[in-house]
Amino acid sequence: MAEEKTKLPSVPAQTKGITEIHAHETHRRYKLVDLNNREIEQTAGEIVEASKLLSNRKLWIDNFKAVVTRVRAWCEQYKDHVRMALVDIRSDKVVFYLVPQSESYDLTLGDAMTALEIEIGGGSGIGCVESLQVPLRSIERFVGEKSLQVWPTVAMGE
Amino acid sequence: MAKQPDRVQLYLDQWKHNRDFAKTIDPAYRDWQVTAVFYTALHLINAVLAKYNIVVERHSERNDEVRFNAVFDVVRTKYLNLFRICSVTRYDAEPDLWIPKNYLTVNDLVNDLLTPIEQNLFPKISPSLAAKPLVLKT
Repeated sequence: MAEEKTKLPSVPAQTKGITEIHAHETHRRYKLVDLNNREIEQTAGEIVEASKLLSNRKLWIDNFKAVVTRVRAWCEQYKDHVRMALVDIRSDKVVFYLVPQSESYDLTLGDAMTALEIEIGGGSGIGCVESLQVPLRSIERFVGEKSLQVWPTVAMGE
Repeated sequence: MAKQPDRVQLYLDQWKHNRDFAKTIDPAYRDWQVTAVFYTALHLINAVLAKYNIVVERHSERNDEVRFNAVFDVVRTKYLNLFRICSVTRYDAEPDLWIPKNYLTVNDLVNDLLTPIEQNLFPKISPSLAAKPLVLKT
């Protein structure tokens, strides 16, 4: 049986009044105008990829917020052991820094951290999640300037 | 074609090398004692992973295997505690302060964290694998 050739539309297709942009239309270019009237010219394929990235970014942020909410609840549960929690978003993973109440490594907290990592790590949708305990006395050595304090503070930026 | 090296044996050699080194470290260098103990455990984890043809290159990848692979069920908490203790100890100006307070000496850390890892993983690597208790200088 002869394979039917995909027919490319010669003009942008429309579905219920919405213009369709098809990634396979590599030949077709679109001019986009941003809020500063700056013109950006992209192919259909580039627009589709950019949209997917934007959707993934939004999903990642929503998942990240859900993880932070869970970590805050966990900190409340272990507040006798935890003094502070911070998060650092790295290129390859998300690291939660837990500052214990004690000056030394807290084994009870460590066991609970492992359980938390397993709970949120597998299906968090934000990639690899790790947690580390760091002492308050040398927190600057481990926690970067861009780290965010997630507990005990309550406000989180959008 | 050249014979492929036995990756399991290579990691076991590294495990033994670090274990032997740990015994020699002066207690004044507590950070290096803890680091040697951690890397002793790490190479044993690598040997198990090699047995299953799993290749890891970074701590985060290895830790994920330990977290989510059932073969590490019994040892994961021990190993991840050792990883976290070592992560700070080797950069901390006062490593003695970071040793868990219920450990009276660094040998308690060995007995509580490394020894159970070895005892659990030895049979998974080779039925004949064994080691004398590791005793560090105090």
